[in-house]
Amino acid sequence: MPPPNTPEEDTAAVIIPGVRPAVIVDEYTFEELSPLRSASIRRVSPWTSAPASVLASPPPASGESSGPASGPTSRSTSRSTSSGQHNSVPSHTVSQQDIAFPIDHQSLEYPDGVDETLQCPICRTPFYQPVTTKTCGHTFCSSCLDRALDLQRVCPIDRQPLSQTRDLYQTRVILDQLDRLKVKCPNKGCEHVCTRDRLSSHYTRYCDYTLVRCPEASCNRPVARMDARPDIGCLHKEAECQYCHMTVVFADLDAHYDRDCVGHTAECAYCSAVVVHHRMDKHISTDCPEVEVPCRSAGIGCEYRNKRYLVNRHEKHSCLVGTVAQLQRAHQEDRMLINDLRNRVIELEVRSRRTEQHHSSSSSDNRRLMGDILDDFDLGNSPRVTALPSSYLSSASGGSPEDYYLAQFERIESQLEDLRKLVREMDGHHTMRQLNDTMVLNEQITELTGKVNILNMHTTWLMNIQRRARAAGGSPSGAMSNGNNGSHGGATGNGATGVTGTRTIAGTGANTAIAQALASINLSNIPSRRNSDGRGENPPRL
Amino acid sequence: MPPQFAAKRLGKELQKIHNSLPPGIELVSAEDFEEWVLDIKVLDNNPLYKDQTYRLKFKFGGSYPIEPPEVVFVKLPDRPIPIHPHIYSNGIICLDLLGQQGWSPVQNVESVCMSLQSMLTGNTKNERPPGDEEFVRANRLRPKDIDFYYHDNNV
Repeated sequence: MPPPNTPEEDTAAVIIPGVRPAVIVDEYTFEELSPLRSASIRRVSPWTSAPASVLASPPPASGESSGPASGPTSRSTSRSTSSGQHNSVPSHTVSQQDIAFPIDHQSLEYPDGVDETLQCPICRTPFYQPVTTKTCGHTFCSSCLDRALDLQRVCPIDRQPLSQTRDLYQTRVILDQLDRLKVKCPNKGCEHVCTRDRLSSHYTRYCDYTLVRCPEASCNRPVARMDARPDIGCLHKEAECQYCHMTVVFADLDAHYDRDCVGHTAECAYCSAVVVHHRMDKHISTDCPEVEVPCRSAGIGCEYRNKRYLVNRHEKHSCLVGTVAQLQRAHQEDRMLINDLRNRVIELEVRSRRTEQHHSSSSSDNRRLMGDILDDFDLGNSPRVTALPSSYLSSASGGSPEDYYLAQFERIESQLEDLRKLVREMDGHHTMRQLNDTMVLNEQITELTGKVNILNMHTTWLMNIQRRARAAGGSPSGAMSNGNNGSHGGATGNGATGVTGTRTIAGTGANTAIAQALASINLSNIPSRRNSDGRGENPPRL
Repeated sequence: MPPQFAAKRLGKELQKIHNSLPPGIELVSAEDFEEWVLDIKVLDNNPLYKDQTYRLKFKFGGSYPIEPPEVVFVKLPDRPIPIHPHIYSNGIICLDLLGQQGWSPVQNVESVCMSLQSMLTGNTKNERPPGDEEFVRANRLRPKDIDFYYHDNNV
């Protein structure tokens, strides 16, 4: 999730022009819609403020219902956490604050069923925001336990005394298990099933059936999100049913046609089924079994045309073109796979060739083998395969196209298997070669490191000598006077070096210093001199 | 306390009751989420209750299951009031489980029925509570408003 925008930016991004600004949310009375009391909301806050759960799923519904109660702080939090994904929301989507009803977590449907151990013993539904007692380890929904504790401050199961604030904690394992439960979207008409941690984001942001505030600022009635479009405006104006002339709220017109409208059905002209009037078009275009329609594969050559139920049978059992098309699709998929593998092999080959330049000994067999197979596989854009089916069909040389395709499949499959083997083999070779290369390099590096270390030691030793000589001050040792000359020469230039130039070879600066240090090695190697200087060290041997 | 909460919970319980009930308990009617009627039998051979069926009436308030339901035995021609030192002859039951103090929201209709079954099973005294006649004559209170004194820990 991208970092949340600042609240100002977010407000601008979320509110769609034409929809009333977010400020009006304050006037909207969520409180009366919400079944949750503000008391339970207070205790819910640990969830909404925990960063992990906020990122995983937007703040729970109770967070929204807390709007009027808890002031602007909590609202701006929920707004900023939800901002990241708004880029991908359909354009007519309204902001989260417009959701008319929070999710009622105790009425959710769990299609796979839920184990009884994950159900609250008080409300008998899977836990919502469970808390576990510290003293006896029993778990309840936090809102259920709140209600029970209002009456008696004891654990509802074993009556151990409980304090509402101190003796409760959350268990990560239970939360995780609950998050994984598959749950159906609570909206009527929506068949979406998702894990429970994702339900909130589906419901508040994506589900088209979620009831949201009417885009008309003056209207206070909820409307499904897909109908809440600023360009259409308020759907709660009254309309007249064109069949029974009853006055109905425009948004309910569809439901009215289906259920209440008197005299709204008509007989289908083809199959004499009784169909709701305004669904007749759909019935004829997709359902009616007696209407004459073409085969689904008409676009690719099937000329069959008959009543729908016959066509359905034809498509299922006898449509040759359809079957071939299906096989063709499968074939194309396989071809894509093969091409993909082929590219990988080529890539590997290129890589191995590169390594071969260093190790020319062992890989010539492999290359030959791969060359053979690659030649065999050169069907990337070759017209051979694509052309075959038609030529095969037209030539009608016995056997059915299914047989041909089956044979083709088998061939491709065996080739695939070969390729896989080859790729595996190549991978092995490649790794081996890399290993061999790096071993040599490693050895060389180790050797070099050793040499560098020895050099380092030498340098240190030399500098030590110099430092000591300098510390000895005006002593008449050769190393000392040479060192003085060197630094002097560096400072004053050639003129100065010229004075003592008899022994220094290089003329200036650092060069002089090194040369003299080297000279001092020679000096100290002379036994008599070393003895007279009183120095004990020997230079490290190279 | 929104009454929805009680209705939801009772809906869940009813669903479960329709699926299965322990032996000796039968649902007679549950038309709404306010009043249910169940029959219970004592399953062992306690001579006091052998071959008898008793009818129970549950009344749920809007605060169920936080607050206990009102449970009484109902007298019908074929449904007597069981004889028990804690059951008055008008069907009112003196059981701490059904009082504000003894009730817990994890109890349910099924568990109450089972408690009553075991309360009858364990009884050996063929008697009514002391002062039964007077209580039955004078009492105009509803069971939940009666201030019971739970003195007997043996049932």
